[in-house]
Formats: sequence, structure tokens, C-alpha cells
Amino acid sequence: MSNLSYLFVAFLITWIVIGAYLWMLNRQVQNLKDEVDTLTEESVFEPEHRPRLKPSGYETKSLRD
Amino acid sequence: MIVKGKSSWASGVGLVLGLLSAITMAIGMYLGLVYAPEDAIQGNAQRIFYIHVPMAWVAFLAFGVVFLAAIMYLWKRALIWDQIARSSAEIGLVFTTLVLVTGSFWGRPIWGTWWTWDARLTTTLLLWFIFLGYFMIRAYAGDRGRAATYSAVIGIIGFFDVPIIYLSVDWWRTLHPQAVISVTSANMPGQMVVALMVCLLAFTLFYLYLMIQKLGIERMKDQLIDYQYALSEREAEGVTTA
Repeated sequence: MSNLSYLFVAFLITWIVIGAYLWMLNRQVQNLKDEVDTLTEESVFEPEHRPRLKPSGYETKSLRD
Repeated sequence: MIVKGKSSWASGVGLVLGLLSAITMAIGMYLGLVYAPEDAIQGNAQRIFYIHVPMAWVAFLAFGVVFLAAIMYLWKRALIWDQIARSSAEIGLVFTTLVLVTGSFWGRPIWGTWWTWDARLTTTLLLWFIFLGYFMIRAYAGDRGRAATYSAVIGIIGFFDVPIIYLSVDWWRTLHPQAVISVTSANMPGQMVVALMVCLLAFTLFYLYLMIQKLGIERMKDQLIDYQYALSEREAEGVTTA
């Protein structure tokens, strides 16, 4: 059973990092869905005046500009 | 909803890939930890090999995808190529981090040190820093178009480190061992080869699963920015009719 502790810790760290990354991705999806719902509910436009939803590329400038 | 269209297709494929990668991962872990024999010299530490090598492969694959997507973005200027590049770059960075960490835990009992400025280790660390820079550039570039262009250039340049890492053990005298397996031959027992192959498959499927998830997130983020920008423009124009 030589060097078993190194094997154990290496696997443990790997699965903790992968698990944390999956959790982070899931949180990102949830946050984005919440943001979409908020925007849709709070939209002040009538449906026919709502902006086009499909992105057209980078011709639309960032909000930070 | 903002994200529609292919999202249901993507979630179906994502679910299948997620299940497949979980199953093959479980089989791979069993083969690597139980089925494959213990290394006579390195002992159990050698079993780190069954996650270290597949994660290195996935990192290289991810940066290869960044390289191709970055070229396509600079050529076509289409949003999707930048979304693919940044999704893959993030996954590549996560796996490169894990390669460095697991390599360190493997090196300590075998080489007697956590880290050495060996050619392979150093070039891998360099790759990690290049792609850390990739995300720093994206964060500070300002508008999305500029961020995409700058990071595409870094992604292309950064990828050239991958073949250097691979060949470093042949080009320089290194502590890191040379490749024990090639397309035509394998310098290890058959059980170890089987375990490694299953782990390679498992991590490749896992990469594809993560790509689908991450790409969906990046697409949604861009659509939100477009939507918010369009809303603010409409508000400025006074099109509020509600």
C-alpha cells in the first residue's frame, strides 16, 4: 500500500475541483435564467416593440461602452 | 424566453453525454484503482497516471479547439466561434490546473519534490499562465468585439505551447518520463493500457459534456447583453407604450 496517501489526496482534490466547477456552471445557469425572467417580467415594452432576442453578432456594442 | 431554439436539443445531447461520461468514468476509476496492477517501483502513486494523463489530453484537446475556433473567429467574425473558443479555454484552464496539481502529488513521492523547473513542468505552467492571461485580457478589453479579437490572438499563440510541451521530454533531458504509449506500441502491461484507454474515453466524453453546458451559458450571456442593450436603446428612443 505504498504511497497510498498521495493517490488519495490527488484523487480527492481532482474530484473536489471538478465538483466545484460543475456546481459553478449550474449556478451560472440559474443566475442567467433568473435574470432572463426578471427582464421578461419587467419589460416595459409591448410584445411587438420588444427588441429582437436573437444575437446578431458583435455589431451590437457592449453595455459598458 | 431568450434562449430557445437548439437549447432543448443541446440539453438532450448534454444529458446523454453526461450519463455516458459518468458511466465510463466509474468504469475507468475501477479499472485504474482495482483492475490495473500496482507499479513495482512507484507503488500506488503510479495510479495518479489514470487521471493525470487523461486530464492532460483533455487540456490539449480544449486548447486545440480554442486554436481552431480563434482562427475561425478572426476569419469569419461570427459570434459562435468566440463563444466556442472561450468555453473551451475555460475548461482547458481548469484541467491544466488539475494536471499541475496531480503531477505535483505524483512527483513528491517519486522525485522527492513537489515541483522542479523541468522542461515539461515549466512549459505546462507557461501554458497555464498564457490562458490565465487569455481571461484577463477578456475582462479588461472593454467591448466584446475587442475582447474576442485580442483573446483569439492569445488563443492561437498559446496553442503553440502544446506541441512544445508534448515534445519537451524528447527535446530536453527531463525528470518527467517520456511517453509510455504511442499509436503503435505501449511500454506497459495490457491491463494498464486498458485502464488508461477507458479513462481517456471517459474524460473526453466529460469534456464534450462540459463544452455543451458552457457553450449554452456563454450563448445565454451574449443574448442577455444584446437584449439589455436593445432595451436601453428603445428606452432612449421613448418607445415605451405600456
